[in-house]
Amino acid sequence: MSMTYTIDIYKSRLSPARKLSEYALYVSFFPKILAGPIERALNFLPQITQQREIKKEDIRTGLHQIFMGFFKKIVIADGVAQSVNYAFAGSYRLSWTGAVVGTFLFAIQIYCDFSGYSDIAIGSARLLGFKLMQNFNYPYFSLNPSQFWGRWHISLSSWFRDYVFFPLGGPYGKTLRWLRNIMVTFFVTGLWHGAGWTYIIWGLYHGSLLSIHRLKESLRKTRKKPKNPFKRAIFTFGFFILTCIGWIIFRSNTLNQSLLFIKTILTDFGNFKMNIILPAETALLGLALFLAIEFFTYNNRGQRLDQLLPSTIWTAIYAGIIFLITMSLSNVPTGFIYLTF
Amino acid sequence: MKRFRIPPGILIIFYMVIIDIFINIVFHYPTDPNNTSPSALQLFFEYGRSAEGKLSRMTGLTDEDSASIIKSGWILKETEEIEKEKTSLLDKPIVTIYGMSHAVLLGKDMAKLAPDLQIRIKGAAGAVPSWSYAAYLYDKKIIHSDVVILGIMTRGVSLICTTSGATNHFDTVAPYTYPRFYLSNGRLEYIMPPFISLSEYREFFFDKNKWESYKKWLRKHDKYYDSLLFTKSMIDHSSLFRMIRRAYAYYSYRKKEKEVYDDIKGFNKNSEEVILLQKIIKEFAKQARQDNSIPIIYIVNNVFMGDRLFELIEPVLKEENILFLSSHKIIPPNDPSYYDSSSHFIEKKNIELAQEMINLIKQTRVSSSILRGK
Repeated sequence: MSMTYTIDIYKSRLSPARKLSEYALYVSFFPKILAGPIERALNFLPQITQQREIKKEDIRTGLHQIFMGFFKKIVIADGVAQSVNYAFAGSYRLSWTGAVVGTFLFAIQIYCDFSGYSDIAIGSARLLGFKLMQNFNYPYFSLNPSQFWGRWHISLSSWFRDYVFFPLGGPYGKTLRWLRNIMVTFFVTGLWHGAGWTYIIWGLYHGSLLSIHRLKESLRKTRKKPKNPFKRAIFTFGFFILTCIGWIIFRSNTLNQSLLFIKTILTDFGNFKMNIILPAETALLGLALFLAIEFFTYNNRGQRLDQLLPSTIWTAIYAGIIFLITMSLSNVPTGFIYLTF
Repeated sequence: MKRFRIPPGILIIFYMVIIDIFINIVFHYPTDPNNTSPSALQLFFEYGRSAEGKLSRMTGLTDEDSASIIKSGWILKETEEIEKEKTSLLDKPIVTIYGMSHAVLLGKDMAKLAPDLQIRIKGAAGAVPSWSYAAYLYDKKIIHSDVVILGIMTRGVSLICTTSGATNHFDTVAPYTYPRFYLSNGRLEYIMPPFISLSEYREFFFDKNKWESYKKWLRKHDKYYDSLLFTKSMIDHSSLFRMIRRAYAYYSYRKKEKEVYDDIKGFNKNSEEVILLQKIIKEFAKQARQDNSIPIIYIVNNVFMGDRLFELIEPVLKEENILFLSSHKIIPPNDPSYYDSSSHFIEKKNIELAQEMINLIKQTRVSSSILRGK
């Protein structure tokens, strides 16, 4: 955040904060200090200096977001954490089913853990009258890598876009030049997560996916998005699988482990023995409810349940979620994944 | 005219009450204490009931109207039971195994594999090392065994300073009791609980004053006693509050376990529990040898806890020259495919362990006979 502030002032996009306290509040604002969203000074500083009015809608939106954040974190992310830890412990050979289920559960865990955290942070800020940027926007409904990076950890991906990719030249110039820009940006994105080969390869893997996608797009005369729902579902599912392969690399302890994982999935088909510990029943129940809510709200332009359903129905769903949260409280609690980055 | 709208908060509370009532009706726990197979959901929503609440449901005035778990694990057996066992002894070498369910399962498989040995099993659900040692001390006065096996598992170590099956596990409680061991000037001492047999337990449980005095005793001597978890209250009637209590129980148990065992750091070698465990093993071997029995330690390394228990007690076993069988030699502790849904070893591996134990006993018995000149 301090880098953003410094660069924006250097580039004359922002005037320096008038008071030290304003700058201090910007960098240390408690909801976002641990794991984002990585808020731009351009968006946040004016909110500090201007008179804030906390409206009823702010409180309502904030509370809804915090509530859904707890649901994602406590019921789903913590509920599947043990299964994921065992699957990626690397202490024994997984079966095909074990590897596939382990990968799927990690994809769910990292999304619910991080977007849950972001929801709690954004909701808490909203209760205080601050509007932080959206950090996740249905990333697993993406049809291609370009869409995915516009929806996953938006505050970070847009930061790399604006402060690394564009200064390198962005998507302009000769093909090789913009391909290089993409790969460098994703190399840095991987490195940002940790100084380990798995993160770097994960970054380069996504860089390659995006490069291939952009190349394909540049060869096409017209840009058409598939309108047929069946075709869209296939594209979405296909890209979800590619994302999951990335998550295997990201989550593995070593590159060898990720290769073994991928090899098991590709070559061990037919070994249906389930040799990972299944998630808690509450996590499975919560996951089913969560997926239903995601599908429903995604198809309704991301509106909240209370905006879409009569109060007699959404309050019943919320009461059910409270029960699920209570049922999940005895799960082994895990720290937020992104706090380690 | 403005239409009246119920505030969403009230509606949510209303629905929560409805769900609570629904759960209590649909997943009502069977009142028959002998019903040992309720559904998974009936069990799930019952876990958070207080220890007293669970005991009330399971304890009847007679054995017939009590759940089987109420009758198990008592160190002091009733006289008829002792006489019955004495008359059933055969002219075979006697091997007695003391411990938790893993030890019981091992004993059962050993009995199938070695008909030339008389295998006696003294077990209790979730038995901790202090229970096993106390059971041995009582049992040896009644029947002499040629071989005595003490079962210990990783999860049990942090529970050594408990005194009852009603405090050492929250989800499923059992009323059996055992002494609270402690060290005094390097000597292993113990404080006896107010009751150690089933009949004494009934006497206490159905007498309000006696039961209150027992709770006071627990508060003083049992490290895991917590009145919020133990004492029956209004909370028992609500499934929502039962789940909150269960969450608190898990939090509290994890916190206490962490003082003794940490997933990353392993055992805290300076903890009272670890020091007591080492002393119990030494005393067990000493007592057994004095009684002309062969002592063996059966080490159960729980799933995903590595071979840390083995590593912890290996120096003591070597120093005291005690025979042992550690499950990690046959079952990799970090591979869940060798463990069943209740965290016991799968049948095939349990048989291998049983065979290994029999081999160990037979080799040792032969060599000790040669040494004795038999």
